[in-house]
Order: sequence, then C-alpha cells, then structure tokens
Amino acid sequence: MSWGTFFPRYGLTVREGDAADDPGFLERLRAGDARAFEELVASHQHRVFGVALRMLGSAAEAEDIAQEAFLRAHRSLPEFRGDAKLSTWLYTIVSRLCLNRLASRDRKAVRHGEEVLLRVADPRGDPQTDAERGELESALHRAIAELSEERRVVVILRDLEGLSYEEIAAALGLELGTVRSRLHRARMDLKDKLERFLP
Amino acid sequence: MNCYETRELLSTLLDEALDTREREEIQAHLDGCPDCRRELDGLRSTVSWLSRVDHPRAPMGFVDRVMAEVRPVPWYRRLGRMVFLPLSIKLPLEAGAMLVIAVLGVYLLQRTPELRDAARPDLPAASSRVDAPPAAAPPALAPAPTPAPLRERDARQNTGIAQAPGGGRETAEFSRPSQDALAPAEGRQEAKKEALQQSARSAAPPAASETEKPEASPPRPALSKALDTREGSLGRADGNKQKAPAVAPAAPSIFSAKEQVAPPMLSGLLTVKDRQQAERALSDLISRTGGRETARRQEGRATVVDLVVPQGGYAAFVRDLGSLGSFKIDGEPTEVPPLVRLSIRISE
Repeated sequence: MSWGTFFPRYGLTVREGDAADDPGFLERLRAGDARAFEELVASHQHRVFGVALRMLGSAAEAEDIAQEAFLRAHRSLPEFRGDAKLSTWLYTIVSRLCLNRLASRDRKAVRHGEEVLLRVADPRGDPQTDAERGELESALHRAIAELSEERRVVVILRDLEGLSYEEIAAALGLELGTVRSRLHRARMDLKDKLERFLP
Repeated sequence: MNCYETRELLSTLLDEALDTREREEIQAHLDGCPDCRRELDGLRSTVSWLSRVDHPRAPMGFVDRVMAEVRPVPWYRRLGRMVFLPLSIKLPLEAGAMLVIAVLGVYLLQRTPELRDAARPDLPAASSRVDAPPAAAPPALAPAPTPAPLRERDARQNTGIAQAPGGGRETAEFSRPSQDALAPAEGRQEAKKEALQQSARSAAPPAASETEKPEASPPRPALSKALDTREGSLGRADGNKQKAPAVAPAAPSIFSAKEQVAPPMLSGLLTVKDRQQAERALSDLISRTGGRETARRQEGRATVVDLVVPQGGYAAFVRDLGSLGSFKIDGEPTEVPPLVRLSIRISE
C-alpha cells in the first residue's frame, strides 16, 4: 500500500477527480498498474458508494453495486479515452448499474413495499437515530428517497455530487433539456415536501 | 415572460446555466412578482440544504475487497475453483472416489488369500494354508509351485521310500500341514513321538533309506542326520496314515507370501573358491530340494541368499550344501518346522 492510497483508504483525505486525471496517472491506469487502480478506488470509493446507497437504500446492495462498478471500470480502462473526467466516468457506470438494478423484475417487486422507501430515507439503517439527527436532515433524506428514480438520480448527481448539466446528460444519455426539466421537477418536489422548514 | 415560464427556469437560474437574455427576462419578471420571488427563495433554500447533506462512507475494507477481485488469478486456481469449489460438484466427486476405493479394497482382499492372511498376523501360517482352499487361490497371485518331477525326485532321494501307488507320497510330503490337519490326531502324535525318539538316538544305525545314499557325500551336521531319520519315521508314519480313512487333498504349494517374507530362522556361512559358480550351484540345489529363493543381495564381497526349504528337502539341502564348499550353520533348531527359512552368506 502506497502513501497515495493510505490516507484515502482510511478517510483522512479524498483525492478528488481532477487531481486523479493527470496524464501520467491515466497512463498508469491504462497500462494495468494495480497500484494506480488501487489509488483510484481509494479516492472514489465513498462517492461511488454514496450514489449507490442513495439510489438503492440498502448498504449491502450499494456495496455490491459499487464493487461491480469498479470491476467494470477496471475491465474498461484500456478503452478509456479520457474524454470525460474519471470521476464522471465512474458516476456514469454506477448510475446506470443502479438504474438497471432498480428496473429489474425482482427489485420492482420489492419496491412496492414501504420497506425500501424507509431504508432509502434513512440509509444508515436505524430509524431511531432520526431523533438524534436534525429533523430537517431526516426529512430531506426521506424526501430524496421518495422521488422517482429518474428525478432522484439527477438531483443526486447535480446537488449532492456536483456534476454539471452536460456531465449528467452524458452520464445518463439524456438531452440537456431533459436534465434541466427533471432537475427542476425534483427540486420543486423536495421544496414542497420541506415547506414547513422554509422561513 | 409569465409566472409559469419563469418558474420553469428558476432551477436553471440558480445553477447559473441561463444565457444573458433569459436571465434578464427572468430578473425583470421577478422584480415585479413577489410570488415568484418567494418560489425562488424556497428553491434556493432547498438547494442549499442538499449541498450540505453528509456523504455516506464506504464500509471498511472496501478497497481490499475490490482489489482482491481485480488481481489476476492463476490458471490452476481458476481450474481448481471450477472443478472443486462448487460443493455440488465437489461432494459427490469425493464420495464417489471413496466408494470406489472401498469396493476395490474389499474385492482385492476377498480375491487374494495371501492378503487375507497378512491381514491376520496372529494366526499361524499353517492354519491359514489349511483354511484357504487350493481352488480359491488365483494362479497369477499365488506363488508358483515347484515342478512336480523335481519334487518327486527329491522326495525319493531324501527319504528312500518308494512312492505309494497313486502318487500319495509326493503330495504327502509337501502338503503335510494340510494332511496333519485332516488326519486323526492319534496318528500324528505317534509319528512325532517316534521321530523324536529316533532323532535323539543319533548314534543308532541309520534307517534303511540312508544306506542307499552315496558315500561320497561330505560329513553332515548332526541335525541333518536327525532329520533324515525323522524323515524316515515320518515316512512310516505317513504309511500308517495311508491306512487311516482320512484322505489328504494335494496342496498346490506350501510357500505362502507370509512365510517367504518372514525373517530367516537359520543363517549359515558358505566359503567357496568360486563365488559365482557357487551361486549357480546353490540355485540348482534350491530347486532340486523343492525350495525357493526369496531374496539375493550383495554385501561387499559376499552374496547373501535368503531362501525357504520345505521340511522334506532340508536334510538333502544341508547335506549337498557341504559339497559346494565349507559350510557352517548357526543356531540349529531342535525341531525342523514345515518350512525352513535360511539365510546363506557365500564368500570366497
């Protein structure tokens, strides 16, 4: 384990996307350098896992999807041309995996119950911690979880992960206008559900 | 721009993604519409809250688990996993292999009397030979019997007793354990008693059979003389047995695997002038007396030959061994067993 992966591994700092996109690092990744890939995983694990957790609501399922996302990235690295940032590329992979999982037949059967929504509303798993956390934060998590999948993924990528409209459109394969529209609808839904907290 | 059109673009306005013209039109509407301004403030607060949401953290060990999946697995491990790791394949395969081994072991044990005897070390070899019927021993695994003409000649030479009509003498000599087991006990006791009495009287006149033997034979040890007399007495005892109603079936061989691998009872030193010639002569002598060579090895300038000789041929063997060179034997037994195991060291 190198110093490049030690700190991110234990959460002391996070190497953000642009810093990881220097040409030398990309070249090492394309060449199959295991240490470079370990550094990539260590620096992006929390964000990739976070997207999966907010989309799926189950920590175990989110870890499964996040792991699959990195494995697919590892297989596709030789073909990665560097047109997009590495972080955007990873968000693309994990978002599509989550949407596929949510669209699967088994997942749909579960989704109609309230269990999933409750778990998504409180991704840390324990409803009793709602009282300990801020009421606003709990309401916000629940409101995000209650969004439709199409709107939820857009608001997560934009407002939680900070992707641009263009990056979201490229990641999800949508038109720019569709991204704007879905994001606006999602924010309006959230605002309506959090109306009581507004000044 | 009306309220509906303005509110559709409020989110984009917050993200500063509008062009200058759209931004100016919206700003103009907002300046005169308090409802849309309130809508914009609410939206701005919501976006602000979203930006402050904590990011969940990946579980501990996530990087290690990903890297463990990524690292290349050698081909033999992949093959091993493919064949053995799924329990649905591994368990039936192992159970089947164990079953095959068990069935094969039982089959071999039942088909091979020698193995069955070896599995019971506490039983005497003679009884095991009696228990095993001759027909049960497969020819490929049982030791090959000595050729009948040789044994017949040796029997006549050693005992000097004419063979009874029907060839009973030859079979009686080599199947003594079997016959002993089947003959009446009284006859056997009388024969042994008589043999022991005659062996004790070593100075007594030799039996009639010995008078026919060549005078050129070298002086023999006392044991061989005693054995000769014992042979004669046993021959007479056998003659008595022929009167008995018991009929002894002919045993194919007295050389069981167990007896051939047992340590030698006697050891002797044969000093000769030409060792190679003596080795050949010894081989001939072993065959002639109905014995079998079990092992041969070189120890320095000497050759050590392990062999077994049946009781009937032992006396002739020891006697003729003296004609090959100077022979000294250690540890003479008081009673000659049905099968004598010897170790002879030939040196120049």
